[in-house]
Amino acid sequence: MSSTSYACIEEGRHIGRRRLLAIMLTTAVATSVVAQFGAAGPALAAGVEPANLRIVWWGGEPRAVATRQALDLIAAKYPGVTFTTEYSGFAGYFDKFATQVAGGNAPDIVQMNFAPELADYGSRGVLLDLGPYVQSGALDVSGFNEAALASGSVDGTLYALPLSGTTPATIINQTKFAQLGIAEPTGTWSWDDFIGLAAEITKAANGAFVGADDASARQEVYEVWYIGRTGNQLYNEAGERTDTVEDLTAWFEMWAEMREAGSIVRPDVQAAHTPGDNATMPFVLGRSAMTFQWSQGQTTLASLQPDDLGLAMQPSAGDNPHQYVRPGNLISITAGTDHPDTAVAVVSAFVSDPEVLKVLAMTRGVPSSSTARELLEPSLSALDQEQVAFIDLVSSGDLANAPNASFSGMLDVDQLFTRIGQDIAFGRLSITEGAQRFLDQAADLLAR
Amino acid sequence: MAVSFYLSFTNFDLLTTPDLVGARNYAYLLRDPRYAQSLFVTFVYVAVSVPLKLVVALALALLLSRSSFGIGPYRAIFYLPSLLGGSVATAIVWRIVFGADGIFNVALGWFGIEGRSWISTPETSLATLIALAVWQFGAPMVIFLAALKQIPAELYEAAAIDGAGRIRMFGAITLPLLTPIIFFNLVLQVINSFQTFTPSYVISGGTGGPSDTTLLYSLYLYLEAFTKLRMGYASAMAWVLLAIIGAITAALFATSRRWVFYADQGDRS
Repeated sequence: MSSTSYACIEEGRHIGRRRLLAIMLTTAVATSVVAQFGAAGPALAAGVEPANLRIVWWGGEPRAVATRQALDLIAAKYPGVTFTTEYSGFAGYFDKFATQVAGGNAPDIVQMNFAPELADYGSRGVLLDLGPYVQSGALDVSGFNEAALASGSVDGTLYALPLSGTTPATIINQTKFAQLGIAEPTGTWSWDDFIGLAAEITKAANGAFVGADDASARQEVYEVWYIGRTGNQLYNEAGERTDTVEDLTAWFEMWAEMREAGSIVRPDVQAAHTPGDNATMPFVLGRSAMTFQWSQGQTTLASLQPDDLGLAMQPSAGDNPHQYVRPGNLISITAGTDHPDTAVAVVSAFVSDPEVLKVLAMTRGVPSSSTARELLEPSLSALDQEQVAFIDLVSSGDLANAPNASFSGMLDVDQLFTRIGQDIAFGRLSITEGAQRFLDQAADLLAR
Repeated sequence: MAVSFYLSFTNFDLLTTPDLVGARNYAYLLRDPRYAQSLFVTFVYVAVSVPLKLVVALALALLLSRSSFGIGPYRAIFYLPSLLGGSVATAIVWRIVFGADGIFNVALGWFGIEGRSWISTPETSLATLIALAVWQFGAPMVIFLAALKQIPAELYEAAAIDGAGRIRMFGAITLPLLTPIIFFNLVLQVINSFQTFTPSYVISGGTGGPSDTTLLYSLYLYLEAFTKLRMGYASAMAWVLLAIIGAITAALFATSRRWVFYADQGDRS
């Protein structure tokens, strides 16, 4: 050891270079070993590196509060993991997500929609393949049965876990029904029953409000009517429409009669409703006593207005089963995330950790996971109990297949249906002309 | 811009790599019914709101050009809407004011008229957008005010001595001397008007209004780009808009020789 290769501070107190190296090495090893022990929590924590994860979802205040609490719990379990949260309404949610993905700025964990976004994003490689993590045990899917996992898969690859199940329903304003002394619909009922009830409500309300929202321009409501009437899905496997001018004419004529009778909301008031923005629904604004929405709408709409809300099935248009259960929303990880293992651990806790599940409760709807259902059953609020009972009631009957097709142009056709429906409602287009025009332009859009 | 031009010849969904399809996007523009509708709506919007806005701006500028006491605050007040006008907040307020339960209908109710939801009735929805545009007359008004100040007072005095009335003075002195400013405002307003997006997006809730009656060009472009992820098609639309605005501006410049009177025109009689 030559004395010129290091600094001497004091006589007789110099540290040899090799010894310095040895000390540094030992300290490094010791600190890392101590760090491992220091960060130890549950056994899974060993592979979870500290990270800041961005998580986005859509929903209202109650959901946001519950989700943040759940994330706080998860952060406490995995020290070093922190969250940046963003939430918004559903309108514009996926526009924003697409832009973020394109800009390389995608969030790590994202709440996903069943149709068409899951198939769209899954097939484009935007979402992380969760299969390997299930196999290694890093992702705990013990609460999900095969059907649930299948609903989160695209072409056999698991991209998302369903957080809740939902079904098409009629949302009833119980307060208004009670006010008028009219009995609520229960069990299965037909569209003729619906038409009669809407007229009855309008007459009894005497100008204060009308029977129902005008759903003639909403293709998702038409779809359920069509499935019940014909037993077929709207799109065949080749991606073509299966409905005819007769079907469309029957649908629009049914609503035109209700419009003439005055038992549904005026077209201009209905047109002010932006799809995806619940606060603009005439039903939420107190202008009608019935509307159509997914069953978990009972909870989401309840928080936007003061009256009590109840559920009924969507009226049946024929002898074929028309109610179906589909995931309300799902949770996914984006493929471009920098911390896949941490994200998987977080999602795993999100869907299987008992404390987390209790905090999340039913803010996303009736849970798809049986673990969650069992945990929550004893302590459900009255509203949540109604939700669970409704899903059980529907699931126990004959179910139709959930429409989950995703073809290019489907969103365009959806919007075309709304435009034609509005034109017919405003009297700018005759029903037969509108029906034919819709089918012609829809074929064009699907073939684009 | 070069990338956008390249993309207009591709199918690009923002998430995967673009693939070249030649002029297919431009060809589809020719047979897309929604595109035709958006062109129609935008042309009506520009053709009605710009002249209306300029007329209102000039009228108010004339009123406010006299230097009477307390005129300053008035000028500021009239200018205020154009500061706020293009914003999201104002569009939201507009949507509420002209909605079914809005203040406008309350006011109509005082006269016993039952109002409808003006923003979501196909016949009137574009009119609410035009009203919002005209409400922002403040910016051209301020420019007119400045120009009015430039006109030499001697011209009016000479005309008054010759016995000219107010209207004659306006037609023979004010208007001709203002033509360069009118031209300037016209070109500026036309270019901006074609690019209007926020009022259309907010008032229609992002849909283009009942049956596409408020589907302005830039809104349709945005919807195709970001909700349908058809970036190539949207890029083609952007370039066509550039061509349209360029052509109209060129036409305006070409015709300006006939009606714009510049003071330094030499010996033109």
